[in-house]
Amino acid sequence: MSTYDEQRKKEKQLTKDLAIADVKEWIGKLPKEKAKSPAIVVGTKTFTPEEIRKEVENDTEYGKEFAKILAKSRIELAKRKNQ
Amino acid sequence: MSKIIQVSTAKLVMDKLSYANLIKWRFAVSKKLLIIRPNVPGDNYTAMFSYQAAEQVKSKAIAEGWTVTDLQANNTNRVNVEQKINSVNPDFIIHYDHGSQYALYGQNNNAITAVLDAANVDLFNGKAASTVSCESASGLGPLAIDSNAKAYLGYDELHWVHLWYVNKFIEASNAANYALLEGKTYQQAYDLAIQKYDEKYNELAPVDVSAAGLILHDRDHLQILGNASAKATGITISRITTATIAPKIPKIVRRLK
Repeated sequence: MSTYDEQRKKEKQLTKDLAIADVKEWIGKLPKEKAKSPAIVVGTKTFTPEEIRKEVENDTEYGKEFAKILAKSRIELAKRKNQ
Repeated sequence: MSKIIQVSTAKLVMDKLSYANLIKWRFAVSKKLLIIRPNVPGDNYTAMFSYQAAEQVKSKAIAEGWTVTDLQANNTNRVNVEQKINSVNPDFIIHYDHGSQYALYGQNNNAITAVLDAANVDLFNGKAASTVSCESASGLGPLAIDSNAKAYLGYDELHWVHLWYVNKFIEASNAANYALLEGKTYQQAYDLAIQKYDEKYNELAPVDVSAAGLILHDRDHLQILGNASAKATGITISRITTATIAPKIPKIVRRLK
């Protein structure tokens, strides 16, 4: 049985794990050369899919944001599933 | 004595009346647009997205009859931006570049530099504003509204772009500005932008989950601040006197004959 704080910590890790899984799945579907080509731009930063995976894994500012974005996208897909 | 006053008062009233009859006011829509669009070498956001997005907005503005002042690249330095706002007195300021919570950025000697921030936010006074950039709707936008900007459209979080689908991101980012240039209100422009973002999300979701997520994020962080019923156009008031209508009188008389 987890306390509230422990549960929240676990869920944060779960969000991160799901994001990494999503990014890996996304990269897996790409032609090899695409995985290393510039894809995502935010502010003055540009990331290839491989770089954004590392950002998520390393819990950087952009990595955390990207993980949240993927989580939100999953919610949107779930909302639209039966529409 | 009282008769003299009465006569002079009557004369004054007559003068005022005839003066009032001579003057009419004409209201016209004013369409002066200032575009601020840096293009920093090696900076993908400006070079591959925002500069060309703003080019499309400029074409739309010209087609809609706007008089456009287009500040590009190193001409978007702080001195130029301030000077153009003061000299042109635009009705509408459109900015495409980087933003942070309390600043919109331009370009000076190829460096990304703040050009509109808390120190000169009063430049927004009386103006409509729209920016495609990160975060400024969470800080500078409210300050601009406090400084009597009519309305401010921008993003309150990071603005992400996916380069492989850059045209879809441009279409979605430009939708609100197109609507404002067409004379729609900020609320209508916002609603149309959300529709466009939804349309692009639906196109991207089956193709690329990350790009779809990013466009959804941009959609959810677009904000209108200030008067949502406002339009980006301004109003000019000009006085029509007999001097300005006199040359037209012979024409009117000829038509009546």
